[in-house]
Amino acid sequence: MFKQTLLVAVIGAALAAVYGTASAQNAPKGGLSAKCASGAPVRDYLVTVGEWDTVPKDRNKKPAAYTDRGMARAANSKLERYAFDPSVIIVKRGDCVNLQIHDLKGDHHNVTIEGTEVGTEGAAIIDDAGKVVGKLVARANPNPYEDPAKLKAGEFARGEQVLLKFQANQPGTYRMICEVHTFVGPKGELRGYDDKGKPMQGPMVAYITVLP
Amino acid sequence: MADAFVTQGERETAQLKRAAVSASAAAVLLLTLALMGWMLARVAEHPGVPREAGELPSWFTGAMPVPGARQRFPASAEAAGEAAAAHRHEAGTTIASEPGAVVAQPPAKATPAEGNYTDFASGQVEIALKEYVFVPNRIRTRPGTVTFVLRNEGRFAHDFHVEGPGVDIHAEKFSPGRTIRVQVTVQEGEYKVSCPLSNHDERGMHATLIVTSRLAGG
Ligand SMILES: [Cu+2]
Ligand SMILES: [Cu+2]
Repeated sequence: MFKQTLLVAVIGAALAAVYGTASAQNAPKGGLSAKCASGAPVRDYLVTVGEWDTVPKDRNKKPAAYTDRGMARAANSKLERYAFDPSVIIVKRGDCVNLQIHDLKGDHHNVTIEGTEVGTEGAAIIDDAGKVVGKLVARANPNPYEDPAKLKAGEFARGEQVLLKFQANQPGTYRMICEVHTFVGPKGELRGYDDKGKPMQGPMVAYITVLP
Repeated sequence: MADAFVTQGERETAQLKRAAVSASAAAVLLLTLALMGWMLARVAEHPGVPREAGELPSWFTGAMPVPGARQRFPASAEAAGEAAAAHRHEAGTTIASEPGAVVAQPPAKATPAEGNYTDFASGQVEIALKEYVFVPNRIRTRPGTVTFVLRNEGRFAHDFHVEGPGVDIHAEKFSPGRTIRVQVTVQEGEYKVSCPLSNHDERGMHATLIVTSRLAGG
């Protein structure tokens, strides 16, 4: 009797282990994939890229050169930060998500989603009607009066609209950042930059939450 | 006869009971194991990279540079170098620069002493990609067909670009955790390796590849 029970338990354990491993491996690799399966429900989001800024004033209403930590700041008294709006996007597992990102402020940006292959490199540039008019590869800046003169792969300029498409395969919360305006620390800490390009202030980040 | 029949019936009942008890025990065990399997599967599919809290690097705190901070730099770089050396010794490899050492000082300052190269005489060059650095970033190999084994150990997607005498090759962007292989035929000379994505190159994602026939023999 004991031997039989043991046998059943061992077989059961083996089955459970096999099932667990198999389902772990069948889970799609990478939480978000750059291509959508056909028939996946499509979710469209309009995302604008804007800027938040402020000039701190002292008691006499004169611009005070302070950092976000209240420390004296050398030159520029302006505090600024770029942001995605909306900055929280909630979708369901399996959704095919279309982010239509419109750069309204900031001469150029790029977008990448942490832990995934999803990013704007090679993404479509679209016009107001949604028609594809180009691709985000290394190219000259379409705004000749602005810096930089050349854009790298994945970067888009002021006034451009970009279609970032991905399928949400795994539930979780993903950080979507603009690397032009965000510094990444060795442990994944995110920071913005100051007027001299040093890490400081808020990063340019949005969150994509995939519900199960 | 009747007595014997009853006794046998009781014995059977007792056996049945024992079987039922062990069956239920087995069922509970199975259920537990199945649940564990399911939980493991759930954990395995959890996306993203763990973000453990830790001490921020000095360049990251946003504090204004104070006079004298500059003098602390070489010391901290030295310490990082020592740590890197210790690590290198442990691993038994010849990695020229560790991420810690690179992070401890701004990339612009990391231009450096000669001869700090990692040699890949076999023609298989293994490079790790992180934010925003190649490890190692000073590489030597022999002429001929070279296989680059590129591991993305970072949090974001990266790419690979080699440029130099007769070569201008881009790989495909690849996601964190993935490893790709790129074969390139190189001749003697100096090549620039970089990540062409956005501002990764400016942030320090570049490496120097020197191809020399001196390594061909070994
Ligand atoms: Cu930006
Ligand atoms: Cu990169």
